[in-house]
Amino acid sequence: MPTLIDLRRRIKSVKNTQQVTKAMKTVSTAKFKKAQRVIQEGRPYWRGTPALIWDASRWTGGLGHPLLLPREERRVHVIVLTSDKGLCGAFNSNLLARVQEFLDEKSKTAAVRLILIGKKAVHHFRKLAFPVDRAVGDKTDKLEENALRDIARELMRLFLHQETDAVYLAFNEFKSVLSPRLNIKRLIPVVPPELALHHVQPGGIIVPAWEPGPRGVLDALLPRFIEDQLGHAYYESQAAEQAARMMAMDSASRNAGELIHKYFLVMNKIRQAGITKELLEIMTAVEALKK
Amino acid sequence: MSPDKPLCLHLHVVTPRRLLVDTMVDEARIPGLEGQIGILPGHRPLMLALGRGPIVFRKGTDEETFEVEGGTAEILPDRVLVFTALPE
Repeated sequence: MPTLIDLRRRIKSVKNTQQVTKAMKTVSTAKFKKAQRVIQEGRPYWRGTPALIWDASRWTGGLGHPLLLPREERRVHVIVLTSDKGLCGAFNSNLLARVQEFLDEKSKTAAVRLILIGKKAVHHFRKLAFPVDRAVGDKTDKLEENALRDIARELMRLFLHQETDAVYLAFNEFKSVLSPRLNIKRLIPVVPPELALHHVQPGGIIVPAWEPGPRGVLDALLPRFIEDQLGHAYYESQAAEQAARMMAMDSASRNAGELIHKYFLVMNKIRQAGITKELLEIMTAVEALKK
Repeated sequence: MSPDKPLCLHLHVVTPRRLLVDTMVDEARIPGLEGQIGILPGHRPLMLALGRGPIVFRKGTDEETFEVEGGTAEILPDRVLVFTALPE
């Protein structure tokens, strides 16, 4: 049986922990709101661009742009986006497990090289045999857009010089607050997006004129699309991370509350038992004196 | 010009981070790679690669301007969709 003083001490410590988790929840809620706003404001762009790419690649017909042409994958780059910090549930471990599976599969047929963004990814792959081309393991949440753009440009260069055959991107996509969606998608060559019937004209599809020529337009469109996709994935991951931390901290606070409640019950029981015992002793003493 | 020429243009300017413009305009001028292109309602369909420069759009006598850099514009007779970025 724990003593009263032990229980009081434990309640105090759990209360402190609860305060910390509550504070962390508040902080990640604020950060989440910010990240969510970025995603929401970018939505018109992400709704429109895939359709544009689709239209453009269809209108150009057989004119293949190198960034659209898949080839046999012998060398593959994989970008892994995780967070720097833990305390966000299974956010990182789920993704890393999925990536591990994916890498095991890919490395059967191709040489895999990695680009890691996020301290958790860097730590995870430090012990593994995959060569790492670039690792950003510090202050990932304050990463400049230019840094991401640089990575995308470098990869496009490698792809166009036939030094890599495909680039994959693994990240947590923000689906809802309750759970992020693990996503591994091919970044280069561009996967022509699903058919989007956003502006089928009455009387057939109008094939537009190009300026300066279909190739020129694709040249302007595709590299930017790839860069933007990486940037977008980064913000998705940020939002998903904060949402995951929000949920984790919320349930931690709730658990702490339950624990406190439990300890209080035990404490009250002990106190009550003590009082009863004392009363009994007094009564017995009084009875004994009467005799 | 065909008789069913649209009266105004629906101009959308979006960047990966924000929707910049979503409005009806009478005329838009967009910086193509080979120079500024003026667009009036009923323009022929056109895919346009953008350079760096100002987008100007006119509504009645009000004119607004802002700088953009790169990207693509899809021009249809009744609407203009610009996918671009703000210069850094």
